[in-house]
Amino acid sequence: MTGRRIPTGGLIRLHQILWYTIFVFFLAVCALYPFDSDLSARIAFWGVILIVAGTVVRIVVLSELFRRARRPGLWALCGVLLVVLIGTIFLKYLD
Amino acid sequence: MPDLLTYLGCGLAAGLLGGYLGLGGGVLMVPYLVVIAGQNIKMAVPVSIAAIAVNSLSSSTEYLKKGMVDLELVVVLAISLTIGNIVGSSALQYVPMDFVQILFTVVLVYTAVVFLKGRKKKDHPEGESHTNTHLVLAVILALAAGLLGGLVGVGGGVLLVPALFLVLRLPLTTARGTMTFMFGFSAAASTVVFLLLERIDFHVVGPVIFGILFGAKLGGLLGTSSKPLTVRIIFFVVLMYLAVRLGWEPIGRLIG
Repeated sequence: MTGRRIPTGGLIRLHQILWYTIFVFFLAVCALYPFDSDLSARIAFWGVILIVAGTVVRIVVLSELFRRARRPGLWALCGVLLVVLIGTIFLKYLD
Repeated sequence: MPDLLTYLGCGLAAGLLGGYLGLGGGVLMVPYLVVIAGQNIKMAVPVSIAAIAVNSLSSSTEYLKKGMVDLELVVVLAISLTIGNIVGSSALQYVPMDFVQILFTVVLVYTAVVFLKGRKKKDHPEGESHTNTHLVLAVILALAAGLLGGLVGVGGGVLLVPALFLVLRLPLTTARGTMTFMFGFSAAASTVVFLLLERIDFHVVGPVIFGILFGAKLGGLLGTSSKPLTVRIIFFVVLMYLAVRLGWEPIGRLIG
């Protein structure tokens, strides 16, 4: 079954919400940049945190879509993906 | 103010190219930040990685809306590509760099030529399950792309998009849509590493991300409606550019 059979409405909505939230954050970053670049950098830091958190939510929502579509193998693979990504962080950080 | 415009332009251009071709955009962003914005490469790479995570989110929405993301393959490919990348970057110290760069250059040139020619076989039927053989093939391709990418320090997307099209027979838009969706995962993981190492310059990353938000959206919009031949020609140019950039020095040393 390809992605077309799995309803993606929730994922698209999540993407749109994340897009607008990131837009607001980085609009503030750019607006403040010429006047107070340090404040702008602090907001950018939280924007980057938001991007990382948003990616985790994307994986969780994807796994939920697989669970609802009764694809337990793919649902489990989403868990594996999270573990692999966390493992990557540790490996690269400790390297 | 000129800095702000330079960084915005960087994000916009990288997002447009990346969203259109199904790539992260680092291939444009890193040289742009180094050559035009005058950034140190050690600062340019973390900035581009953080921006790639946004590129994925922004451009893949357009592909998702049109059903051009193969969600089944996304997870399988993301896991395999990430593992391949880890193995590749860990093996870096054990293999001769010149050999790897020349090998990657040969693979890039071969891929570019074959991809430009296209394929005669029909697309994999929409809505039909991937067979186990198909999934195993996807895992092998992603592992190989990740391994080679990890060895030379580029994302495996430049090889994986043509491979999905040529070997797995995905429609070109679906191959690119699937890639745009999945490269955000490993980019976000690398972003966390750079955050922990305090290597991200937040004065630079802010405007770059704001630019990429729009560039990727536009790239995704154009990418979902463009002719396959146009995409293959632009892809060919990008692959050849990368081949020259990677192969120039080691081949020169080999000849000279």
